[in-house]
Amino acid sequence: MTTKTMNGEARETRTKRPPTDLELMMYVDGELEGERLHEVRLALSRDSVLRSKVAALSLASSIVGENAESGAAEIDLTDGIMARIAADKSATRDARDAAPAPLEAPVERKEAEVKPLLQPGLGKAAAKSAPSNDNSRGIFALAAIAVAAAAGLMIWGRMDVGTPHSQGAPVAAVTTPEELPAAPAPTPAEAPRAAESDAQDGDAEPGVAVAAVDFGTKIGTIFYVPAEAATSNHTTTVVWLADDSAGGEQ
Amino acid sequence: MRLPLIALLVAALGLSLGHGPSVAHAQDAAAQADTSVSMEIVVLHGTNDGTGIDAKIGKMPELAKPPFSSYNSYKLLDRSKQTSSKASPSTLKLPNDRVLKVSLKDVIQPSKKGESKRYVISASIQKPGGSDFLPLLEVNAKAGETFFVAGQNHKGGVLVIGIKVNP
Repeated sequence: MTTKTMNGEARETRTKRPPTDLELMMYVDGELEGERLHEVRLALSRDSVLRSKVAALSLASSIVGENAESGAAEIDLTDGIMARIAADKSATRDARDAAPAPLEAPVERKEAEVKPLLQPGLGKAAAKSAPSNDNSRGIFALAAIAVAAAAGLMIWGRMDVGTPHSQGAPVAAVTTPEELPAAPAPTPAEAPRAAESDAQDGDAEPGVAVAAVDFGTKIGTIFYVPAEAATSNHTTTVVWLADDSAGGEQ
Repeated sequence: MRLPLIALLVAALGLSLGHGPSVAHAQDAAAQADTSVSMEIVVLHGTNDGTGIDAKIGKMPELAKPPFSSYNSYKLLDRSKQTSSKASPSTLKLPNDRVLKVSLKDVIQPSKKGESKRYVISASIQKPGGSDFLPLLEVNAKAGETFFVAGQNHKGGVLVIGIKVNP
């Protein structure tokens, strides 16, 4: 390119301009043409630095080119991505994301099918599905708990918590001596102690409680017969006072 | 939606409270404080003669348990009904000529629902000469409950006295 001054002289303006790196790369790649190619060659013949740059660019270009050619033969990036998508069987993946099967034969395309969102019968449940802010279930649960508590209170109120009158009280042994306990009868002084301890171990309320007793000069004993042996299902109180407990007074 | 539920809850609670325990019955019973009481007194003779328990005695399983089981045979000597009050005690002559005196001291009204009245009964046994064999026995008994006074010697055995306040 030349420019002319006002007096008509033409002057070279680009011969001295050094080639840029892009121009060097284009030169290495063989993409530079025309007058600029000639100028770059001229600059390279004059400048050793530019030559070393071109040498380095040529080496890099050759390496990249070799790798690209070998990789391209083995890896098809698009096919690889689609293959991995097709291999993904997770539930979150939509069926529409599946890799399209290789079409070996043209498939007849179906026309779009339009289905109603609320089908008769099947769609009733969906139509009546509760909204996300519906808290009626919690209210019903609360109501059920309250009704159960009320029923419990009513049952408790009707219970007779006072004296349990058992229908299955032990039946008296009105019978012969053979049906009495086979063990030898303890002496009156020994047996009462056992009975007393049995009664005290139990938590049954005595039907009769001794409020006060005065044995005088004698020694008496108070026994509580266990509840299971009583007709009233309560412990039976027995005041035992023998005539000879204080020296045989009759 | 919420209004009927609240009404349901209130109705349920009201129903439960309406049928809940009532103290009206206890108050009515308290108003009818008895001044006299009917008692049944049985006198048994316990021996080891092997005759067993007299069928006339009736249902009395306590006799098969200590201390009554010290004797294998019981015979009914007497069964009587007595009416006692605070003012007039009842007396019963025993087979050994002693006198059993029973009197009603007080009637305790139930303090809680479902409980029954309790009767404060005083008993004593006097010898023929006037001295006391058992000076004092005071018990707090429910109606229908029997308590026993036993141990007096009698004809090779012992006397067993059962006292029950009739409901």
